[in-house]
Amino acid sequence: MTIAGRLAVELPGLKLKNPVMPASGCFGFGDNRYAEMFDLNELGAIIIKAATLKQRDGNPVPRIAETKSGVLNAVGLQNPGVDVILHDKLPVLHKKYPELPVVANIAGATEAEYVKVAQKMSASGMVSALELNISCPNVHEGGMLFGTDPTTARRLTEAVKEVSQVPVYVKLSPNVTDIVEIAQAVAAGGADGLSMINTLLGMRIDLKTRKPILANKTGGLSGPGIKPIAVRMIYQVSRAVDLPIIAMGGIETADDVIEMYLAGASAVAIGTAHFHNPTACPDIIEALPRKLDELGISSLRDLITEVRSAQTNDN
Amino acid sequence: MLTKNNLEIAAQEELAPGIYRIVLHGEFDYAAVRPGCFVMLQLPDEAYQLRRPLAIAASNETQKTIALIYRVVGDGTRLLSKLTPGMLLSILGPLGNGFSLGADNSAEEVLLVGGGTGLPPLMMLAQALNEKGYAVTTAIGFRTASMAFGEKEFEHNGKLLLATDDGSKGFKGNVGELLAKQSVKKYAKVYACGPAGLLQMVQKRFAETETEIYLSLESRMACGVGACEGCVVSTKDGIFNKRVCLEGPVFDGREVIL
Ligand SMILES: Cc1cc2nc3c(=O)[nH]c(=O)nc-3n(C[C@H](O)[C@H](O)[C@H](O)COP(=O)(O)OP(=O)(O)OC[C@H]3O[C@@H](n4cnc5c(N)ncnc54)[C@H](O)[C@@H]3O)c2cc1C
Ligand SMILES: Cc1cc2nc3c(=O)[nH]c(=O)nc-3n(C[C@H](O)[C@H](O)[C@H](O)COP(=O)(O)O)c2cc1C
Repeated sequence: MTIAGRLAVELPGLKLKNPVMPASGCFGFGDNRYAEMFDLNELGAIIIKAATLKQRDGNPVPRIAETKSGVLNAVGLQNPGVDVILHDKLPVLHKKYPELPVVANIAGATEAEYVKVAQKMSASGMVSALELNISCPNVHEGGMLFGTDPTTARRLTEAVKEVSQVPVYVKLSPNVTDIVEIAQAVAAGGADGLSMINTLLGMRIDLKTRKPILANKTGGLSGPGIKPIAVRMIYQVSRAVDLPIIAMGGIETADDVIEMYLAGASAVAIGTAHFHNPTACPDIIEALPRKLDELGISSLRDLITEVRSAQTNDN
Repeated sequence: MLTKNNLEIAAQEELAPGIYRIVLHGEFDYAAVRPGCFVMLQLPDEAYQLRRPLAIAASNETQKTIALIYRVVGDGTRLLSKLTPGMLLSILGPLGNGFSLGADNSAEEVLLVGGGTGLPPLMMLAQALNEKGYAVTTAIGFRTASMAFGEKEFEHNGKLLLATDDGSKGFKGNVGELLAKQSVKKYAKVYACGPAGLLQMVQKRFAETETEIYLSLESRMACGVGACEGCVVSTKDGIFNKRVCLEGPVFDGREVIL
């Protein structure tokens, strides 16, 4: 299949008619009522909710809290487990939207678990790429622990790459002192791409109860409040590591998308924006061509090349 | 059909201190509205990343209006209370399963139990049940007489049992204490909406009866459409296996674990 059009982009395993996909955890497995509001075939791709080896019940409620220009969540990777996802969820998604590329977000408490999930997911024939979640702040074992130490991150990437039949994007945690160091480590481990950023660890306290609002106490901060952090990190990482980046973190508009491209992104994912604008993805897709005209950009592919070569000259 | 449309504020009034009724006019799938359904309302300020879930208190397809009744509890509802007619609000809905109404032309006795902001969906429910022929009794509680609202609507659709904590109107005490003095075996169905304590009271009180129990739950939610797993509850069949926004907000009181 060849792809054409000024919004089309090509990343390892992903030939996308446009660069816009719902972010993991904000769109389920496509089995929700967002699908009543627009045709999912319009999306560039979909990143599904994290899959773990066994079913996970997640954290107690409240799991959601709001803060100005952001949301805290502590869902805790609730999911029915990889077997149920492969048996019940993905076939339905695939049947309804045969052309829609699926990126499977995978998580685990141990390296062995990640490897098993990666094996099963990538062998299913229903996913185009894996997004290795080494950055979930809301679980007490595994999760972010894999994403904050370069040696562990590299080892896990190598182990997953060894078994995966599809390209692997490693989803980085912003909760580190030096994200470049982690990005370099997973690149050395064989990652095909990066996905960044996951949520930032945060907390809110209720003035009346004097206790944290979230039952889990801490949660992951997302939304437009974290966008400058995402832009900065993508800017730094894209200069240090030669891997395509799926950008996320507070993207709400076509302007935000272009800003991510200027930082060094190759595609984008939209999470929190859905909560106030359920049609954020199709709205952005519709607005992008006009924005490209306005900015004198011929195509996203050209923009990627331009940004990447300017970076080389910088260095 | 689920839609996200801009509805115009047609009217807004304060029903009781801190309790407002807002009427919105515009395109909405009125035919899909059932008592117990809710909307997710976007506040007109981008700093609010989450829509506010509010129950539909009344819906009028010919006039193309829905009414919401809410209590000011935080920044979002405070901002909402300051908005004036003519302004537009983005409304996502209708959402949720709504109450199960049962057969037409039933003469059965049913009980509605509400407290605080649990009243709005019961108003629409009382009317629907009354129209179907049910003998509706509503038991509601307030802190004090000046905080009371909705009495007229409930009296219009059946019998009203009113309680105030300080006894300034009706029974002195809370709704649980009021119901403790009544025989409840005659009710074929009980519907409740309100704080967790009230729902637990209803669940306990009717546990040993044959009465069908319907409880409408509140939960902090993000998406409202079953996508984020934020608002989960547990039932006898599993831990966190249902979402308040999608499979709820109304649950079988014998299944749901509060
Ligand atoms: C299905 C459903 C129907 C509801 N119907 C009504 C109604 O008809 N009338 C009414 O007065 N209230 C109702 N509520 C509660 C109402 O959603 C909250 O009072 C409101 O969201 C508070 O917003 P705020 O910005 O003023 O408060 P803040 O505390 O500043 O809000 C911060 C965040 O917490 C959430 N939140 C706070 N309290 C609640 C709560 N009790 N339930 C859910 N989310 C909460 C807010 O939505 C927001 O995301 C309903 C809740 C649900 C889930
Ligand atoms: C409710 C919720 C659930 C999430 N679940 C996951 C998840 O399962 N796996 C994952 O890698 N990221 C998860 N995320 C993080 C998002 O995919 C995304 O990286 C982050 O929210 C930043 O993007 P945004 O600001 O557009 O939301 C979740 C975010 C939210 C708000």
